Amino acid sequence: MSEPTVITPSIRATLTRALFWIIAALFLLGVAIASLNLVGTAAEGPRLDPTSPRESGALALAEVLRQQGVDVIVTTSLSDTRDALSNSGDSTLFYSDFDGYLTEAQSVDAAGLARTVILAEPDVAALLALAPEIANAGAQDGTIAADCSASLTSNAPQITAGPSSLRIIEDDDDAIGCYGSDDAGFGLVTLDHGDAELLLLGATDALTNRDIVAADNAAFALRMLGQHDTLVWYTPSFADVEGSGEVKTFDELAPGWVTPATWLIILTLLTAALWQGRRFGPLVIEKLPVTVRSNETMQGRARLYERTAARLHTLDALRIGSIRRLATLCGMAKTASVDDVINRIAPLIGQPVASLRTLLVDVSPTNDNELLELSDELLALEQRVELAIRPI
Amino acid sequence: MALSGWFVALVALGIVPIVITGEPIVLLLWLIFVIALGLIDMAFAVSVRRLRFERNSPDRLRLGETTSAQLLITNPSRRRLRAIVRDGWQPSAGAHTNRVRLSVPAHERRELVTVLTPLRRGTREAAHVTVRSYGPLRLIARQTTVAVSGSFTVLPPFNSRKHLPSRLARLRELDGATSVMIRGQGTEFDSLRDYVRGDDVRSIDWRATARRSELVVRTWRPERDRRVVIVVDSGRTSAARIEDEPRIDTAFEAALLLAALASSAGDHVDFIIYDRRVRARVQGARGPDLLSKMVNGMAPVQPELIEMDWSAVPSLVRQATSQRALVVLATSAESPGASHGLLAVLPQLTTKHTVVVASVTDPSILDATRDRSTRDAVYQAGAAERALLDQSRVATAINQLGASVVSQRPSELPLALADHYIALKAAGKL
Repeated sequence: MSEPTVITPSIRATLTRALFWIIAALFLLGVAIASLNLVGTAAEGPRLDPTSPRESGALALAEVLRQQGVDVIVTTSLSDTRDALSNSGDSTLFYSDFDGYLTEAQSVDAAGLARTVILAEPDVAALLALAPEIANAGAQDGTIAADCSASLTSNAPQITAGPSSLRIIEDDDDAIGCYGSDDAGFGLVTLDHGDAELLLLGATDALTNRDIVAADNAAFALRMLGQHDTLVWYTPSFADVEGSGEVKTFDELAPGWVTPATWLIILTLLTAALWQGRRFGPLVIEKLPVTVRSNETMQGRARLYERTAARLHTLDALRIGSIRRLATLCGMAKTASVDDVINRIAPLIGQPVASLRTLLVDVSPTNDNELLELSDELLALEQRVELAIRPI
Repeated sequence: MALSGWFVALVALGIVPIVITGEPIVLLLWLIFVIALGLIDMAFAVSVRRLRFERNSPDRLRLGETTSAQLLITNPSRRRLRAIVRDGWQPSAGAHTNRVRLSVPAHERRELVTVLTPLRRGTREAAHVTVRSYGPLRLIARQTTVAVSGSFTVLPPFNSRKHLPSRLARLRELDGATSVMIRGQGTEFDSLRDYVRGDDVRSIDWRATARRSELVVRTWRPERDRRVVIVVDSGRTSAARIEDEPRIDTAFEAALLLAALASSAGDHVDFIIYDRRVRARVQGARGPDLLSKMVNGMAPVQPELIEMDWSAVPSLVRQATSQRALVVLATSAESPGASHGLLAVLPQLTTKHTVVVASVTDPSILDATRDRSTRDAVYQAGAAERALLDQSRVATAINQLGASVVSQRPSELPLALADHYIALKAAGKL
């Protein structure tokens, strides 16, 4: 008994062989994580999100405000916003409700929380509740000039327009429209109520990461949002939807063991798959012999006859076969001529020579039906001759 | 490494502490416990790399028979081996079971028997042995495959040997051993014996009778020590399957029956398998040795997908014998195109030898001529008639060249060839 040759590689050999791929996989994983951190993740998200580095986000603006000493607090629910604002003195509240989480009452509620409130792209309901004299105007693009007396606009004569604009429909001394005209609509409308100031902003593109460096957008945005030491940047979320607080999640309702038990079941199934899926050694190679079907030539020839509609050719082959069998039946030589065979069988079955000759030599089929009939007649003829020679 | 069902059950058992405590951390603790237990158990399993294997394979057997192959497994370690063993035979070796539970105590050896019923002729091989060695708890196994090669030869079945007694009896009728003896061509004087009633009076040897007081008859026996050369074509046409048997296997059956018959009739048999090179050759063997050499030569031969080179056959026959011989060519005589090579060399053989072409016919072609039920069937019947015509043309051409054709369906061909041989022998044409 000599030292056996082990086919299964040892764990060390397997690891050595897989080392390159393990390193490659780790490297790719590292690259993926790094690039995700640099570029950002999901493509979709709320616009003007102060934590998003995407084009529609506003991280750049929030960061610059922080560097300038403004305390930027990002909130996602009305109660958090209220808490943040009650802790600070004079402050700015910036909020927008693109996804329609807030009810009219909540919007009004929010607008009364701070000294300066900036509402970006207000919807019809919010406008009706907060400033009935202002209405939504059409979309805008390009750049728009300040063209108003508000101090906010003094060092930002040109900003990027769009996506929406506002219009003052009832003359009101408190309402000042900036960046635009009565006809085209304004990008910004300020409403000064003495102790509180409400800014309705239509031209929110100017605040986005993409456009913040264009025109005088940066000056405009910093001036508007940096009025006070504290800026609360409120992005409404699902938490604001009424009644969401009372709905309990599955985790809260189920007993504590359900989640780990589910995981245990998944792991059990996984180990069961490994248990059953493990192959019992490699396959043994088997050399299979060639298999050739013997009547392939015959079938190929039949298909060829059929495709070219070689009816006469087929019938002739059948006739030759029949004549040979008839000759053998009558005790004639295989080489006997057709006429000899016909003359021999005609008296046997009492059929005129002419009709036999028609069947065995003359007639030519014009369609497949005739071919079928003739072939049946040939078989019938053989049977009749056989009966005549060897009666049962 | 391989997990066992017990390991899966142990993982599932974790549901008990999780439900009782209701703490998610228990899941993690349970998993750590289970994996640690499994790894410890695996560490106690005997390493397959230390085992020693030894094979005792059968040497050879006929196709259709059942044999058993032994595998001896020695456990040189100090622990008991608990394992499931798979002996890696080829699928066509026909192992009845290939997962066997085995327990080998320390420093002992056990035998593993695999029952084999091979499915095909040729050399059947075993490549390796795979062992799944479990620890005492049977949780995680070490699985290793070790190359332990083994092989045995599966010989052609020689099913037609059942016909041998009846044909031998007919052969003995030709022999002087039976009293009914016809004197004629192809027989030679054997011996003198006393007359018994029923003997042919014409065979009374009057001169011998005169020397003695009783009637003495001469006995005759067929000619002996003739040569029979069997050439089997292993080219592409012999790969065709007829009635689920390749042509070459039918040719082997026919060759074996003929050789058995001819060697007991006292003739010398030479056997050659040829396509473009000699695949097997048996020369100068007699008696039981002949058949065993023939089956050994046939066992590994499979048809090659190349055209048979007939031009070398006359010289092969010349190498086998310089005397007049019965040359049997086991091939296919189906279409004039494919038989061209055969027809070209036949004159060279027929000038000196008696040549028989043994060809398998396909009964499905004959059946196809009878089926006229559909349009497709009629065209097929036409093609089948055409094929039959081709066959008879080839047969006529072979007959014209002085050889004879024996063509039958696979089950009948060996018998037909044997009968043809007996007829030739009776007629003294060898």
